[in-house]
Amino acid sequence: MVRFKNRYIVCKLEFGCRVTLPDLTQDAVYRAIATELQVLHGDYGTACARKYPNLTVQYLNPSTNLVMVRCSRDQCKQIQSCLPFVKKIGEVDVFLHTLHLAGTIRSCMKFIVRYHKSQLPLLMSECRNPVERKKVQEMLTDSCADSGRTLGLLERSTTSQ
Amino acid sequence: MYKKVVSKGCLDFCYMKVRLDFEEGTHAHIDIVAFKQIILEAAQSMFGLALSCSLIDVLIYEKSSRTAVLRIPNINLSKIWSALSLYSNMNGLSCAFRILQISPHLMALSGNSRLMSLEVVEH
Amino acid sequence: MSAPMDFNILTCERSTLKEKIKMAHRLGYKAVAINIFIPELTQTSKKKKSQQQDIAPAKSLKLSDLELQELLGPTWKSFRQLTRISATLADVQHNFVMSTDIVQQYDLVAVQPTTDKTFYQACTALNVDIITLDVTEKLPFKLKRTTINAAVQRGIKFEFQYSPAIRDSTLRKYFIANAQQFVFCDIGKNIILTSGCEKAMELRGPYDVANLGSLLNLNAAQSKAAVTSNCEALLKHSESRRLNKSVSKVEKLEEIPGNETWLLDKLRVHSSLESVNGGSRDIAGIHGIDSSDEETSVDGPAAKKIKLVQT
Repeated sequence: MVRFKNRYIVCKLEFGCRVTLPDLTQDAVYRAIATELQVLHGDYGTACARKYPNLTVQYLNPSTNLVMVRCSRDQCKQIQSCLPFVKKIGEVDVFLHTLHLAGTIRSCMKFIVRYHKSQLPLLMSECRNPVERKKVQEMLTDSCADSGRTLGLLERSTTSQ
Repeated sequence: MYKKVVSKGCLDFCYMKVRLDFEEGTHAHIDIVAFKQIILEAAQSMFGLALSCSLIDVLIYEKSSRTAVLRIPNINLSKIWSALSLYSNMNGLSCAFRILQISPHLMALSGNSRLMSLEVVEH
Repeated sequence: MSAPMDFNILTCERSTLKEKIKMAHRLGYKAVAINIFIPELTQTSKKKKSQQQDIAPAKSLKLSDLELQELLGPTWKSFRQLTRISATLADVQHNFVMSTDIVQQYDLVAVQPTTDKTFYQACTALNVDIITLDVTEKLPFKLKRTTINAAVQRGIKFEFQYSPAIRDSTLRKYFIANAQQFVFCDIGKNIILTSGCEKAMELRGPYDVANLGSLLNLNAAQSKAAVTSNCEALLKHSESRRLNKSVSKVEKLEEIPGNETWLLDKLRVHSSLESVNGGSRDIAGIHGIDSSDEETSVDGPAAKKIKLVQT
């Protein structure tokens, strides 16, 4: 059975001044990575990224700035070497912070859910008005109905306010 | 006076004798700096910055025949070789790299036994 | 390295062709095939002769002996010229043209499939030697291991041309991408690397071409074979394609029935051979004489004479 082995890289787009681009597209991120690949690894690198499984941006969350990139297992090191050199998407200064590397989409999605959960208490501390705080609190309680540790964090953050 | 060096396994560097050919009738004067520039350009277009940063040295360059001896790291041999093979255009002029000899020992490039001819001396 | 061969030198005007052949000889190739490329196969119908495709006879492509001698000097005899025809296969209906005599008289027959169905047909049914895979655009069909294995078993070689990669940067990317994808499905068997050059400067030496194999994920032995032994196997395949399908039966002389002893005279087997080494020498003798007879009839599109003992 012919099996194409993939690697999925989860990255976070770190903007300099905490800006979130509402019109960020998978295409724009792909083009930024592909340009760096052409510069660093030339025609050979781009050619390897074109054959199946080709380099694609599978998942993009514009509100949390998470990106999941797929590449072939053989080319994983090449792609990973390009990610630090991505400096701009369109006109905006940005860099890619690699969070997770896995062989299946499922494993990456599990990580993304865990990551979002872990970010919620931090969001809580950055809330500016009670409406936002209430929303985040609701999301927290929904997400960690079975997670004792995050509940503890939530209690500590509510008691501190 | 003499030093004996015994090396085991793969040597670090590989020496390559190359010639840059142009179409008949083209008068192209290329000095050593331009020659190295062409090699780096070929490596960069094919394999990007990752390869053009490797230690490619031009040891000897003969301007009239555009022949040179290069020293390249052994790990990059296959890539640099294919990058040079696929290079075809220099400033609009059609050109080709002819790889004459490759050896991990510089001594081997001093002579090519294929070009020798046997002479039968009759007593 | 056994004799390297380049099986794709595009036909063009005489002077450019001579330059290309001279360059190929200089670089060390021992055999070349001059290729005439037909972009579309049209239906040849008996009724509409005016629309019939003009396919030149094979012998007009090659350089004459005199021209070759002038061009190459004293070593001209060891240099072999072959003729080749290639066509793109777009429609399954039109592909019977590949079986006609006009096409089959060429030394090498190549096809370039453009759809799934024509690729399947070329691999399993068509009487061809080479299947060319396009390097100028993304592969238009999906590659299946079973189809490719069927072609490998029949002795058909898959060809990749490297001259487009030399000409242009985008074509280089497609060359590497398509070839790597193919090598993944095919595990690197039955691949040949040819030039497909338009100018003499686009030819590269045999060792350089063998090194390009490493770019395509072929190992060292497979890369070398792509320029040498696969090409030799292809020559044998083309010879067998142009002969009728026949079966050979090996029999000891003593066991030949009475009514078939006329064969001994026909095949010119002398009774003195019998005493030298027993039966086996005679059998080898029979085969030896047979194959030399076959070589003389290779020029014709199909050998009509019965040379081997058929069962």
